[in-house]
Amino acid sequence: MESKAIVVTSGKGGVGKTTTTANLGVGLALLGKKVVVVDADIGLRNLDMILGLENRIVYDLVHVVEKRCKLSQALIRDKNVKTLFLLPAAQTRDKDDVSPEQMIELIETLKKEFDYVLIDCPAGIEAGFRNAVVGADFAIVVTTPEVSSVRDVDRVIGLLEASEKSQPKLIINRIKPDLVKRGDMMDASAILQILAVELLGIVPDDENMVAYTNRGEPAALSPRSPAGKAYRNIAMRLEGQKVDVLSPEEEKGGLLKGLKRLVGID
Amino acid sequence: MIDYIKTLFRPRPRSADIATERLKIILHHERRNIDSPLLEQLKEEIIKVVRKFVEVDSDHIEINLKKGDNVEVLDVTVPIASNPIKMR
Repeated sequence: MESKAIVVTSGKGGVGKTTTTANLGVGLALLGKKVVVVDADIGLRNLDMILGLENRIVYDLVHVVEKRCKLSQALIRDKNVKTLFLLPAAQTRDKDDVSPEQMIELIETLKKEFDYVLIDCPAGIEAGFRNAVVGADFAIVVTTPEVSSVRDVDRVIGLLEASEKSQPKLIINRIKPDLVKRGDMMDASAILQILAVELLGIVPDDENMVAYTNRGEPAALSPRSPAGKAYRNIAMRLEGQKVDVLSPEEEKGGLLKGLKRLVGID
Repeated sequence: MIDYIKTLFRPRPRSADIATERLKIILHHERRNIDSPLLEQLKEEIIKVVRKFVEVDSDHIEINLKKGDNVEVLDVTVPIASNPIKMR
């Protein structure tokens, strides 16, 4: 299979780009794929924290593009999943220290070694965004069901389309079924109607997310986490498997729904 | 045996405490780095020197900068690979 470079982006900050990158990395690696997650947020790295690898960093992305170390020296193997690697961002440098040409070369090199190259994009649409996007084959755009996030993601989709990449795919993050039911949160179909892109998955709001981050163990590792399950499903879809996009309401009512199906009243 | 049983019943540390601890270490490290980038070089050089003499298990290198009462400890753990003698 041909390897894929995918950038995870959103425009707005704080919608879950880094969490999504980490969890999709875990999900794909659990499927036996060789995956590298690349932190393109130079100067404000965080992917290392989410994966619990912050005290393993010796070399980083900027060292690699400046040829001050070998690529293999900068890649950090994940603690939990053996086929997952992290290429950390530099912390004491800034976005302008890397050029688009260097990023293209880096991603091309990584694609030779890995099945998936997942690039965690910084917030914003400036140099850092352009660098993160330039080497990718396509983008996963992440939005929460809030007006400001949807608006920003629409702008990003516009920029991506202008860059002649293949169509971006959408993840809707932090859907709260109770609020949707009450009519106080947009549901997936409303957001899709506005954005008109392919839906890759819906991740339900999971109050344990903070605890996973606290421990540096992504939710996708936990069999019990609803968000973790959603991320593992998305990983399967990226692999071309047919997995229905369950609405969080359905996922929540798992047992009752299952019983109904069993007796044929569903 | 008793110790083993004890570990079974010891509650898993609260994730909030783990977060506080991780942040203390990493932020201390990063604040120091901004004042003196030399620390970053020191870390690289230490690992380079160890590599010169023995095969290193790169997957398990750990770097922590800890703050004691009066001292700072740069703790660089460089595990040696199972077949440690470097062929020259």
